[in-house]
Amino acid sequence: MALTRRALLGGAGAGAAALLAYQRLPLAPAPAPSVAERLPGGGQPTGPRTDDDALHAARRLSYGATPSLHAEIAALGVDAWLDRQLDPASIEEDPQLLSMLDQLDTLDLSPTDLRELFSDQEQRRRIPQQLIAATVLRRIGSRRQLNELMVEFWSDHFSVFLGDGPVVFLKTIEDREVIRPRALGRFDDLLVADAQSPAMLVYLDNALSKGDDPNENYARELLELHTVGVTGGYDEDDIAAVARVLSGWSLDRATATFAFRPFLHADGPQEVMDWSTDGRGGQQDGEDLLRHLAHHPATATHLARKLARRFVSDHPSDELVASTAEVFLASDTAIAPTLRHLLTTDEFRESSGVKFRRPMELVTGAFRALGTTLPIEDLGRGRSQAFRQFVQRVEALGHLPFSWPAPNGFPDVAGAWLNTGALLSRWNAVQALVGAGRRPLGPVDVTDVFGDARSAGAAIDAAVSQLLMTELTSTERDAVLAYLGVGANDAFPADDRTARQTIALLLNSRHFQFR
Amino acid sequence: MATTCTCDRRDLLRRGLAAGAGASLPFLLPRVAFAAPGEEAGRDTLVCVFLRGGMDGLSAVVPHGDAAYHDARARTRVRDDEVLDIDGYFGLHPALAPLQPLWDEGLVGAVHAAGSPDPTRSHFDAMDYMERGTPGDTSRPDGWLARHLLRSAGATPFEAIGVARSLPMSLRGYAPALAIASLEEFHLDAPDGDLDAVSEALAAMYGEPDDALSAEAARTFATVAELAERVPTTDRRGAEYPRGDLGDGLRQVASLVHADVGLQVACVDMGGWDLHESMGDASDGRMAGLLTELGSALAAFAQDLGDRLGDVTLVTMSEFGRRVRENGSGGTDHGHGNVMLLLGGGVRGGAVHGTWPGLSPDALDRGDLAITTDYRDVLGEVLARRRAEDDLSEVFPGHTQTSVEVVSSRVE
Repeated sequence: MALTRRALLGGAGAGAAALLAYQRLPLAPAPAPSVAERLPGGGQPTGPRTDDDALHAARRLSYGATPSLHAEIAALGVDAWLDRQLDPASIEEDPQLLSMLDQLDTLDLSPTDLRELFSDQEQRRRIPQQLIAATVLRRIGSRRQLNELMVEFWSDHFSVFLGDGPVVFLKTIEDREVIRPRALGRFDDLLVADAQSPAMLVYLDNALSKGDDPNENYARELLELHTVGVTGGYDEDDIAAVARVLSGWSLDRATATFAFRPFLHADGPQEVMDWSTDGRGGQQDGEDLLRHLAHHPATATHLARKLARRFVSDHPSDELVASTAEVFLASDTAIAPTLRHLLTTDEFRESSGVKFRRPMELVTGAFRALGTTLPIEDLGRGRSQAFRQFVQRVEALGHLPFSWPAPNGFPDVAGAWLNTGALLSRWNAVQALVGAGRRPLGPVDVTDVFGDARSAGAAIDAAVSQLLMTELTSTERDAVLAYLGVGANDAFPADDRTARQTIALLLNSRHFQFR
Repeated sequence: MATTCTCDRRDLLRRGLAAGAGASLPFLLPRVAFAAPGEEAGRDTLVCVFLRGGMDGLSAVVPHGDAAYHDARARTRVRDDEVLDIDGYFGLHPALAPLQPLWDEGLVGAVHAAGSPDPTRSHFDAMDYMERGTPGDTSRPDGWLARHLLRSAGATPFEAIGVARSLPMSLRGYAPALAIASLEEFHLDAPDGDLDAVSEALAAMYGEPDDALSAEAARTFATVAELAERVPTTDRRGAEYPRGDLGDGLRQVASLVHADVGLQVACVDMGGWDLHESMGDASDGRMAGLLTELGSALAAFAQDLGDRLGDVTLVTMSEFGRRVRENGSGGTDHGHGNVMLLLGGGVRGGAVHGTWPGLSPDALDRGDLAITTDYRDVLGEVLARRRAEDDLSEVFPGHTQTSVEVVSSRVE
């Protein structure tokens, strides 16, 4: 008999539409962006540059710079601030964030309780809604910003698609028990934990793999995406061998947790690149293989390049990748020292303005700049109108967390996110967020932004330093004044609608498109 | 020879962006020109449908006359009493029944055992190679469609479009190519009284410096203006598109064809084909569902196009086929050779083209269907015979073209 997900988990293989009901998740894997791609229009887009290391760190190592974060980094010094961020337990979490997370009652449910909730057609949508909401709330409000960035990095690296049947509830477990506790831990531990994560076991089908007739889905992506990379020096025989070594890594149906099934496991000698086993180790063989792969030099290079692309530039130098990979291997795959190296290099320091924000970074940046957060009223009951509108917006931007429909994770270079349609969607998302359009998404206190400035010029300048932390060009400033229909020295027409639209214009400026 | 009207920014303003604005707006960096309706009649509109995830060609166009197929696919096969027989050897999956009338009319055909010769079974590499048109080689930064369009540029605003949130690799490198997920929603959201003023302010703010971001902003405003001028048709001529990306995409492509905006190339995606488990059987399950969506979307597109189908060629491709032998979880792992479907007035339909290598063990490529037709031969023939491409070595560098005879030459 064929093993199926239905047999394993009891739940129907419900599609995303049924689970999230109101949204259409993307079902077509968009092509992976290529390193050598040429941007239309020629050349990499460039944002505001700065010589202020604290401002650069505030922009690049958070979900959106704010004047207060900038001040905090400047006061502490970039290196000391970085050390604190690399030790998130030392940072007291924001109490307002914690109390909001407390309202999300599915985050802490046990696997069996989650499974039961998943079987309730009416209620199950609360699980993905709350996971997405919690993720966005943390990105906006957490004081452990670098930790959140790494949670996202690993969620992309070990991407699972929330729309794939039972993954929708298993991802809550993975986020809580696999990714978050190890985001700044050791990569070898993370890799083994992820290989045993029910969400991954289901998403890439290893839970169904049988030793005498293996399913190669996970084995292939483990090598290509999670460890050594597509140029890592393996062939089709290696993939088949990995699938046999990891056969039997499956799920316990009753508890929805990892279980090793000896009767599904292929015994016998196996060779995977420069690793081999006599095949008598059972589950231990798989763990040995995973740890071997985690420490492989090709894995170090693959991860170093991805980290450098995330934090430094779309095209990091080979030297930066090599030195980062070296630290990764020398520190036994520990992530924090690897990051500390990467983020204290000259190449990082000199990289301000070169990373184009991905859509969610734009959205969280707007929330943070405006000092507001995602409205989650009524989310516990699964019927929050404001949250629903938020999800629709982010979905239109193609960047709803955990919704990339392929195992390679959301792309991380400008070329994948900058095109005609995407730019319009970004502008429209901000129009909606600020309430300049038809449906305001969050509370915005416009008086905070403009201070007590009387003249239009002073009001614009106040808002620019609050929101963008840079200076407008005279062309840009004139364009905003032209929108207001007044001169710089005339009174600022501070009606609510004009004020909101002015904010939207500033957040839609090119300065805000970069991190 | 086509006469075109070269429109400056002032014309575009009048076309709907910001009527009455006197200021010189710096947003229209590229000068765009509009071909009058019918002037691009010398070339078909090419519609490329990419079936992402690795579509199982053996389930779509079934070699039911081969015993090896039935042996390898004990759980997932299409039985002889289910298949829509074509020629006693091949047959269509029953879920492709919506295509049967088009097949019988000779408007739909297939090329079997086709694909990219590079041996990779990686989704991401295989898609990348296929869309670049240079298997095994990523040294060229552009896609095959971009290279073709650079040589046949018509300078119309909707010359090339990816109906998607991101521009497909095949169009990258061709600056005028647009990525638009929804034509209907392609407008700036601002309160009515404010729309013009907001548009002008944004356009001015994105006027400098001269980089990729400014260029995209300029294209965005030009496209919004053009769409405001030419509202896409809503008459669907009785066509009923299935829900999903493919139906949505083809519906919008048909709108652009009918609107005569000079559409040359359109790319539409359909995902979900990576069925490592639970493909299901011929009548029920995920494969049947996907093929139903595919067949009904293509049929609706043909219905919607009506007479214009004579000026359109649609071709499907996928990064690879699936392994011949099903796996232990009722699915199939990554394979190699695959089927390509073609739809259009110029298609030599009603037949399975190509050279069938068979499914005997020694005929397989690492357990997978071998490739006997390079996918570039199919695409190249479409470009040469339907789109007046006269130098395929520029489009597919290093590839020597072999004729497949799956489309006829365009007769003016």
